[in-house]
Amino acid sequence: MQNKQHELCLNVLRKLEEAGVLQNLVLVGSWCLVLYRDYFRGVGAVPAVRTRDMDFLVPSAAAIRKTVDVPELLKELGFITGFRGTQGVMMLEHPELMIEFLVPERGRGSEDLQDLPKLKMNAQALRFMGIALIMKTIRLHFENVPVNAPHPAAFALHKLLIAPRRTNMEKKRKDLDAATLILDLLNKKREMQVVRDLLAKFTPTWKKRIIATLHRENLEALIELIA
Amino acid sequence: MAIKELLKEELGNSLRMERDYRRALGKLPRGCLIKKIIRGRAYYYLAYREESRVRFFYKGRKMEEREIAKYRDAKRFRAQYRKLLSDVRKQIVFIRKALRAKQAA
Repeated sequence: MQNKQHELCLNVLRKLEEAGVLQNLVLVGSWCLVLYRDYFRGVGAVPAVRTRDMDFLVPSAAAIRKTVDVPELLKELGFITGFRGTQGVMMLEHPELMIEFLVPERGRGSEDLQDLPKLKMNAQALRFMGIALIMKTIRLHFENVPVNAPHPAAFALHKLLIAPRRTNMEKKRKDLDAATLILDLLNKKREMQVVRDLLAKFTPTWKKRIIATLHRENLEALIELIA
Repeated sequence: MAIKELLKEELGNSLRMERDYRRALGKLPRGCLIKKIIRGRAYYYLAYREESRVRFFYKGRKMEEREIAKYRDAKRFRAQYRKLLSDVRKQIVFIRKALRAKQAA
């Protein structure tokens, strides 16, 4: 099942790249860990655990020049369009993968749902996506397809920010485990300065929240490294 | 308990997907386009099942390439969606079994 899922993910990325839209997207969520394997090659192992959700962040909808009918594009691979929740968040569904688009929430009170007419999709606006992910993105390769992903430092800090807000304990644990693993690998790779630089750009409230989370998890060593 | 919550979420996703695949199958044009050669001439028929019988609806001697493509695509998508619908149903059975096993444990 994992191989089928991996193959499908690769096909999705290839299709988006061929359509000329992949460069406007940032792959976020658990699929980033697959990309980080290459980044941390020789430093440490990154587990292959990932979910069916494949989320793409659209940092700027206005930056998309080309109109690409994404649901039609991925129909060839067996994806169908579904809607989630009362607001009707669009999802491209396949038994192996569920693709969703996200946009950073622009200030409080902004709409939870944003239309992406150039992609013929809509996207859910999520908090913390902006600062934690857009500020620092890197281009990695999924097989031979170039994919934008958050820098592992941004990925880890984002996980530490959202973990306390989780109501599902299993997801909270998963976020914390992923964050500590990535921070540990960054430390081994001697890239903690990137984490410190990024953290310096965060608001005092966010910094406090991250430190508090690490305190609660008894990760004092990590606090010393990032503070 | 937490794994149970994740499984429930996955079950919800799979059930929604099953509904959406059924809906997508329902939206495809009905029937399969058949080209019959009778005395050297081509005639198009739309074959579809009505209860236990297969009916042939005469479409004409000539058909637009666009309409032929529509039925060809529908046939391809129908086969693909049926396979994926079957996969989703297997997932549902699997998750339900796992949930029952958790309850029993």
